[in-house]
Amino acid sequence: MTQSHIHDLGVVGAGIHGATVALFAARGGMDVALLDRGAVCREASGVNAGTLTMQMTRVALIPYALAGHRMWATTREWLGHDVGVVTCDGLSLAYTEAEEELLATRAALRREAGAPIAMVTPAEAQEIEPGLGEGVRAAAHCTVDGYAAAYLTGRAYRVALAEAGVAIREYMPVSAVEREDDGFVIRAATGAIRCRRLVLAGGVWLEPMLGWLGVKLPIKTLVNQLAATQRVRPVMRTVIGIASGLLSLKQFPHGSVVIGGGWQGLGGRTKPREGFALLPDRLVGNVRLAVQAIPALREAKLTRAWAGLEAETADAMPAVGPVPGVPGAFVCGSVHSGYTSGPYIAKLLADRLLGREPALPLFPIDRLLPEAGRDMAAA
Amino acid sequence: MSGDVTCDVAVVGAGDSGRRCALYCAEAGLDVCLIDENSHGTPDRRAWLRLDQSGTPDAAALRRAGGRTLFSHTVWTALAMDELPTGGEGFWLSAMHAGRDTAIKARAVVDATGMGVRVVPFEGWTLPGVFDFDDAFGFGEALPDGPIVVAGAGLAIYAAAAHLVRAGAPLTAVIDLESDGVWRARRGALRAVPDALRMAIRWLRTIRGAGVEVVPGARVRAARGEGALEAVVVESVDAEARALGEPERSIAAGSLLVSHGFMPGGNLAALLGASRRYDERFGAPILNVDERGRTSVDGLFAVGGAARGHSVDAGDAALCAAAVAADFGVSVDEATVEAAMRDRDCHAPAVAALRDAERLRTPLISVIPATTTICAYEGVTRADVDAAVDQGAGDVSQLKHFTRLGMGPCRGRQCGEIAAHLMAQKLGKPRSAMGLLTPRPPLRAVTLGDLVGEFSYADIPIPAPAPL
Repeated sequence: MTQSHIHDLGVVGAGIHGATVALFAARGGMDVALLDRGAVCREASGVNAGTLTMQMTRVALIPYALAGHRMWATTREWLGHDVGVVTCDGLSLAYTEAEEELLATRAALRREAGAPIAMVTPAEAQEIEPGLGEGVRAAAHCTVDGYAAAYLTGRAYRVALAEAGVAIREYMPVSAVEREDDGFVIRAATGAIRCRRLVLAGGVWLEPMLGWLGVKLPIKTLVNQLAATQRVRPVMRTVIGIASGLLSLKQFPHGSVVIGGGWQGLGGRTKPREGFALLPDRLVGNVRLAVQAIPALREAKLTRAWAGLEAETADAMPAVGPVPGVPGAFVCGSVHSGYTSGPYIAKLLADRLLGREPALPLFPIDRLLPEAGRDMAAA
Repeated sequence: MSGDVTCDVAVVGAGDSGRRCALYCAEAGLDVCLIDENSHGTPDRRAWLRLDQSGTPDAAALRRAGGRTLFSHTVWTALAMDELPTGGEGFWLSAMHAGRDTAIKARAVVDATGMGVRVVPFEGWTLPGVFDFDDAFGFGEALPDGPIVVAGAGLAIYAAAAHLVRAGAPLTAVIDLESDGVWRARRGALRAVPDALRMAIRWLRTIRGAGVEVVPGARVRAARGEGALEAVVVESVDAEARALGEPERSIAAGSLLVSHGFMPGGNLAALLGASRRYDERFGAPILNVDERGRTSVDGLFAVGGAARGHSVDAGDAALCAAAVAADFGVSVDEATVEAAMRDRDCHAPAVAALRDAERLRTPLISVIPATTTICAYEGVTRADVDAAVDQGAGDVSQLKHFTRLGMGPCRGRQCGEIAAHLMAQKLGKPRSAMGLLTPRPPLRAVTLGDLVGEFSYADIPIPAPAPL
């Protein structure tokens, strides 16, 4: 090695998770390098629908999502920069008998987990959201909901990271990570970076990243389709979803309406972004749900549709904690609907790195590794 | 999806090149659909600009040869069938027609979607009364308010001016970035296309005959007015559009029509995965095509302005049709192909001269004032772009995220290119290092109402619920 500098922490992957870990670790006094093959928060963290909701969050993650929501609502205070966050009411709707049952069950479980959700009648839902159309059989109302302009995430984080003294290494694809006596060598085409401790925060790319360390953790890749309209007059004031979770809908202050919900397009982590394809019939299906909920959207024009990747482990729970058998290496990611809780969960890992006890438990990946995988890592 | 259409070849865009290519394919015995968003195809939209209309085949000729036309069909998205989990060959185009979505399945697709007009922003260019050529001539017969000034680069400004004079519009001046001398020097090259040269000379005579002032070697530095255009400020420039520092003058104007040249389209092919590159000659991204219009994707072709960045037919429609036919195992009359090759060789100098007149002069971008808008829809100024670069935006996709530039209806096809040059200049890097915006649907804005049609909730194929 000709380069003598050794960072306290190397973070690979500059999405919400990696950027948050890097930010709080640096603020805690660590010398941090943050690497990404592209730009900060340019993948899932920058192209998701920006929904900050409890009603699409897995029950076990509700406490994390509530804390994440509080962080998003106060970005100016802890991040220092605006991400266009709006907090508002949220409604999850049921249009069929089956959806009504699903909604009641899910709302009750989420309420038990701490989310302020109450079932309301169609008439009450109409009062909360005057833009609602017909056919609503029941609705779940949550007073903690909202959205961010996800595309602003990178800008806000990048400024904050620079201010915190993080060495930001964008457009630096990593090809391998090697273990050495007292840490790791991160190999990139344009050079090598050495660090004592390592966080892998690659979202859907966690699987190949962990492979560098000999750990085999299968990560499923979801290809979520999204759509946005041109600016239209105000047609809604809440975040709207449906019982099954297959719709997320909100109107941004500038007038554009964003439609999401995780309808699957074509693509994956091995494809370049321009190689992703949207399935027209699924786009139409997703938009039909939006129009069913807010009929005034019929007048709006579709101006953009795109797809973003979401990572999912075998049990659809996060992968956040130490890498078994590799002292000093950590993993952070694969949080279902992770934009809401992302900053909080990553901050918990930063606490752990700084020697503090995390306020809520992490999500160690031991549970997801086959025996053979752990043996390989230990070898 | 209602009214599915199946064919061998879908040619999208019924301009001159698209019509020719479709006709040649039909004559070779292929089942061809010529698709266009306008009710009679596209030629009328830029008819005023066409150097040679004599040879453009009409829809009837195509139908006689066994081809079909799907006019008033707006292709808003497309997909390569082999992308589907179920697999398949060819392409799926979604076209909006009379408020209904129609699926068109074709084994081969030809992108003949033409070119887009470029306007390099200048002080006041977003004032009411300032139009690009597509805005000014795209809709109906209404003429812009007078007095009218036409400005920019390329032969198109003379075509537009002549068209306005013939229509009786109050045109007062034509402001050309090129000097008189440059046009005189090009005359030799233009002789390769005698019809085009005759047409150009006729345009000039029409303009001069109407007493319109032609100001060569000059640019519009600013458009001024209270709430709407009242005057344009004109200054003399050198060959690269740098100000000469001579006294500027003000010309009263009710309308200013601007074109700084045309940029290659090809967005349909790009959406279907065809590779592109930034090309200095066009000052814009262009598809990678071989000499017969084959893109990097099997079965996907491009022709005309979409492929070559110019609209002078140089036989490439015939060459492209021959390549399409060859893929279907059909041979085309060799004499036609050879004639097309000769045509192209003979036209090459003229094409180069016309393109050169429309080249992007980057000094025009350098001098854009800080307060001038770059993305009109999102209200992003040059200062906003500069600030985003200072905060670390390093490519056009990141700039879009930082500023919303390019999220409007033009999808960054116009403003994105200008912003890419601003970024490159500021970072001291080549434009090619700033990347290209990712092609995404829709190719044309469609209303959600048309997209969804009439439906009942039970018909929506909602996937299984997300995990709890």
